[in-house]
Amino acid sequence: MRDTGQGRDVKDRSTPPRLAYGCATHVPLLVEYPAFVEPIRLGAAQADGALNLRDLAPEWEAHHPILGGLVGTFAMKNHVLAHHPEADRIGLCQYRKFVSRRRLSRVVAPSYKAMDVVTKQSLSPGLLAEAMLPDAEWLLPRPFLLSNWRKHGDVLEQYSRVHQPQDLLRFVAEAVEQQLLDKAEVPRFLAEEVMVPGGIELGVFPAEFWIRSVTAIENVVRACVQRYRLVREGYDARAWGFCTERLGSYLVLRRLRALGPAKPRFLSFRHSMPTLGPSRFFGRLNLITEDTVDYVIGS
Amino acid sequence: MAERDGGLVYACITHVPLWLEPPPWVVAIHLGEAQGEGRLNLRDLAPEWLPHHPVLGGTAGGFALRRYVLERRPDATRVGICQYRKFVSRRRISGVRDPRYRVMDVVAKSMLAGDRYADALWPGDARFLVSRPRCFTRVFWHRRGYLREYARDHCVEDLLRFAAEAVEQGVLARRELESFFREDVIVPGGVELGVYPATFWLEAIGQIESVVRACVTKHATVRDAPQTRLWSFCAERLGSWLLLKRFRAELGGGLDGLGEWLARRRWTARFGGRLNLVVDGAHAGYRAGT
Repeated sequence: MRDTGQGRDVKDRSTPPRLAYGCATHVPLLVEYPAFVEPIRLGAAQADGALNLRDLAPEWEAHHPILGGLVGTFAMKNHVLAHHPEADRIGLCQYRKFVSRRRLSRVVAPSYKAMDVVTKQSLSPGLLAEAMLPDAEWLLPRPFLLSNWRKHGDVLEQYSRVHQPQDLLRFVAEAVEQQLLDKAEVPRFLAEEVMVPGGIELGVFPAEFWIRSVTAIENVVRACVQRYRLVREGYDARAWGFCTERLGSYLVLRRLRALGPAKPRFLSFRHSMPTLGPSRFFGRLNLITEDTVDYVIGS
Repeated sequence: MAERDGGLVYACITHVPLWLEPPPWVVAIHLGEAQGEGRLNLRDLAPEWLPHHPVLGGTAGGFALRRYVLERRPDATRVGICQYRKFVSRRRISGVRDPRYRVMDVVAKSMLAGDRYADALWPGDARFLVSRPRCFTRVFWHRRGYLREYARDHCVEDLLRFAAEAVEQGVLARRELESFFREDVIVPGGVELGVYPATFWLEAIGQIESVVRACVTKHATVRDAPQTRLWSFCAERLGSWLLLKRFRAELGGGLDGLGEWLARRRWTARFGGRLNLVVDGAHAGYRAGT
């Protein structure tokens, strides 16, 4: 046990020296995150002496309204490169979303079943520290299938149903142009039936994978905001953020599949979740609320 | 033959001196260096597209023909298009398939001497006369479709951007994208080779023109041969898709399996002709983009 300087004790094993963990927030934090989590402040939450977007990634400050928490991810990347070059794992959470190693509540968000709703009163600092600390090089929200026995679903189908698909096509075109995706991979990406919630913006990732992926995605987003003056109302205003989640999810899946021997598809049931890695790689996505209310995607 | 159908407007798009003398009921629309005084030129009919001729190829001629029909032939009931070395005939002429592009026949220029070219071009009273369709999938467990095929042969980012503009402009519905990308049947040439009802063709080529306009405005993409005519490749897919929608609406189909196969046989029997490539001398096989 040691003093973290925050008036509470955390076990030594809970502060691994080579884990850099950031929390992107544009509001005062709802809960007290463990000491190893560094808040990356956006928008009105920026303050003197804090880790601010305007200092870490000033080029993205103007784009905060259309990119949301994604700019915090870019700021975190710059923060890691500047201040945690030794980090071998990178963790990310948001002011009200985080990934835990185990389920902390059994209340599933009614409109997003991959996520649990957790009241802030139920989260003590000790519990959060214990639940958020990874015991492997990955800690990801449990993936889910976009298809089910009633209907076929994939990245393009799902995106077309809930967003404006032309944004995704433009985003993918930039990713191909910048060689983040191979041209032969495009049909595979658009037909991907598995999704990791949050992509590369929620959870814990190996540092070399995460830095490389975020840097590449940042370049794609930069090209998109420069090329397209996207003005959409409300829900779809954060289009590039939605696209980033899909592409980030695909990059994670691509990496996980490359790590282990793939199970032949004909050995799986059509709508069963494929094995993507050891179970310790996967935790649970949580949404902190004042009360158990439903979640609105994009809010 | 023109007396038989005064409503047929037939144009031959060319950027080189014509290989064959077209019949009197066919007008020639000249592009690039083939433009000249007293001719129907791209620069006069659709000057907007003149600087984009390299990325559009013959598609720019299609846009010029649209202007020609709207301004000079508002009475048109059917529109036909051929290119300086490609045309669709009702029947097979040579019976010799192109070794690389087997949906197309190779016809020696000498076989079209005299009135034979006019006879081969004449569409009769067919409302549609298009090339027989081609399926991309060779083995059923590996379905290809427009997107997969385009990614293999061309620069896929162009088709993604083109499709994005088509959705933005409502030419493709949001939920139609998946079917468009998965579509396995292509009518070679789309709405730029063959004969079509004038109302259908004017609407389709107008939609394609507005999508292409958005693309060239936003993307100054220039590619080396054989990918030079990038937007034309995309326009062919969209034109083919609009045709298939029309055929399926009239004659059924659009599903996988036997129903689609039967429907395709029906519309192919009714509207399908033969795509021909005129060659002069030895021919090793057609290459897309040439």
